[in-house]
Amino acid sequence: MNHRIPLRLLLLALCVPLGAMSACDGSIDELPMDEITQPETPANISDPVRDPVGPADLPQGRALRRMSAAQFNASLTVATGQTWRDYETYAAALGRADFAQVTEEGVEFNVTFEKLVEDAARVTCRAAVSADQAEGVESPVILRHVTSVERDPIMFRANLEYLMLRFLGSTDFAADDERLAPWMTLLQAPTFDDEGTEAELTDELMAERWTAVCVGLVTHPDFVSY
Amino acid sequence: MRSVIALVLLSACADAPVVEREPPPVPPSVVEDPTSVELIADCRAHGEGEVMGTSPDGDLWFLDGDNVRVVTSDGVESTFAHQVPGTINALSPWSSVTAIASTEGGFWRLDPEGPAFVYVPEEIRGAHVFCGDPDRDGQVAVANSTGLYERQAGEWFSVSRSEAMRFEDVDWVSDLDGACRGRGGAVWISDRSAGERQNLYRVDGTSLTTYELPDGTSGDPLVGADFIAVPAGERLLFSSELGPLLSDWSAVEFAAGPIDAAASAGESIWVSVGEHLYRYDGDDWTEADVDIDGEVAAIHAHSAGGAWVETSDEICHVASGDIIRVRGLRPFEVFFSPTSDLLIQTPHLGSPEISVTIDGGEARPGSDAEGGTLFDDLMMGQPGWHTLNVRLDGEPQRSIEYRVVAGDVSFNRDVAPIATEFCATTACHGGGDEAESIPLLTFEQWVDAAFQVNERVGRGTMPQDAPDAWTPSHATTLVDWVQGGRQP
Repeated sequence: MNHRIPLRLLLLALCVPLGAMSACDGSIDELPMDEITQPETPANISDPVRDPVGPADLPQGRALRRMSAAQFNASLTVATGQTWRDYETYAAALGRADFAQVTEEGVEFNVTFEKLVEDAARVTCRAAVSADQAEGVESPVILRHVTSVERDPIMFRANLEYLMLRFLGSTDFAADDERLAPWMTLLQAPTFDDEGTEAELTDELMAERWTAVCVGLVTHPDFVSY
Repeated sequence: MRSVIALVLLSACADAPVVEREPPPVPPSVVEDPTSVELIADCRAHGEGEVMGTSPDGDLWFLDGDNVRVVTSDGVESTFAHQVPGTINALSPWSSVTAIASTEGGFWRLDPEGPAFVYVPEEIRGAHVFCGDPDRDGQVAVANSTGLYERQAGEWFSVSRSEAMRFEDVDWVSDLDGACRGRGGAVWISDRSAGERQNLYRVDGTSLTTYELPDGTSGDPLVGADFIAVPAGERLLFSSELGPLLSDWSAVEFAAGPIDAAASAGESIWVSVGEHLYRYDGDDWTEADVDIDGEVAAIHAHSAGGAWVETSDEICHVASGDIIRVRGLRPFEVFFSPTSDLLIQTPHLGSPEISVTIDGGEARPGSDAEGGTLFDDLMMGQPGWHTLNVRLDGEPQRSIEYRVVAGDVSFNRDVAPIATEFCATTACHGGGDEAESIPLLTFEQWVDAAFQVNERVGRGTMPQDAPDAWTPSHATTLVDWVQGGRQP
């Protein structure tokens, strides 16, 4: 399909007899049409097929919602394995409809909800850690991969990964995952006596720290909202 | 699929598209030692990084890892971290400080404030070639490994040859100084297989035209406002008719040998052949009298009248003089506002008298402003295509084509009366049992068919058998309503 050589021969042939004719004297000349290798013009004309892919604008995201009172109580029970005894007392304050004066579930974030969630977390998490420390527990809820005597950071991490999955559904942690870093800092932080000297980490203190981890996870936005 | 069905149904009422345009002159066919023109070549070391493109004002953008280096046409160089997550696959510069970048994760708008994410559906991300602005309807085309996509009437569409034949090998999309479409209204694309360029396609709203390229075609096609050209060995296959029924190609032969590199911008084509650098300016070929060391690897032309010539060691800006920068208007841009602020900069030309004409009419004088001459609230003209000329001391120096679209068209106020009179007839779009086409009776139905309305009415194929009362202003109103945001 390449006509370069025939064209050259043609131009040379023109040069000899025509001398200073325009094709050879530095000007611009016509190219013989039969020497032009043309694109197939056109090879085909058809209707393009157009299929919609999606809207051009970013879809509007929905507003963040929190759990209803009943959803929170049920989730707390499942996650910690403990029952929050004061739920009925504070259910209305958490937004539960009484269908007498209030007919819609309250799902607004507010200070009352935050305060009661923290209260519930403190009670149930303390109870859960205490239950896990009892003798003969086959399937501990909070202290699944550690006990309060454990000091190995590797085991801390293993238990944290388990708790993050249990409470927040988080998985696939990197070696230096920022989601675990604050909790690891809490568990490994040194303690000091009244005189400012670094003291030994007691089992009671470690139990308190695991309780604090539990409270932190229950009050985490990823736990109470969706 | 709904839109596809609508398109097919609309086709039933459509005539063959005809666009009457005056074709530009065909360039002479054998180029051998043409007239020499003295141009200025400003060369500097190539430096690190890969050239990604040039803005309409001639700002050359390099990508070097996480950094971007910009060299303006007047030699000012700057480097900054682009801060875009991931690897940039393609980049379309708009000015010395703004550009659109494509990564596997999507599109990003780069500007001095940092990158801003431009939303597109996931299927469209990872583009390796694109043109235009992904934020604007009708002004963007995107090709990635899954196909070709365009945005029309608030929605993204995939464009295919058939249900089973998607454009998966597209490696070139027409780029008219950053825009996808000129007055011809079509996007051109080309695919490659096993190193050989295969086909050239012209895509508009109603037709897909395929041109099978001859063997030995390997370079990227060149597209301008009024031409399409394809390098093939020592020839440049050239056509000056951009309609779908393009029939006559001519060939430009370079006697000095095969084409090393070629580029186009505005009305110009630049071609490097061995030691020769040729320029076609819309009328004739000339040879640039410049000294450039080394083998030319690429040419990056810009619409301000110059080009960057890239070798392995150097980059050289070649132009006849200093560049005139126009801020506030890009070539082939679509305006939705009747006015715009234009800042015209002539950094090294002293203080010439700068004037602006639009379609030949003199605009009111500009005022001195920081960095140039400001034409404040410049009236950009009625809806339609316009040509803006920048004159220095009365001499035309730079020409930019653009289009104005009325942005304040209301369906209830402007479109509905036209719809009632011309479209919603029982026989066509009235929705009756005997109607062969889609109903166009409500605002929602018009929104759903907006893309087809834009294409059919815009190309003059609707309404079918237009009555005498139908005028071009009716078509303009409908097209402007679609392109102006389909307001109720």
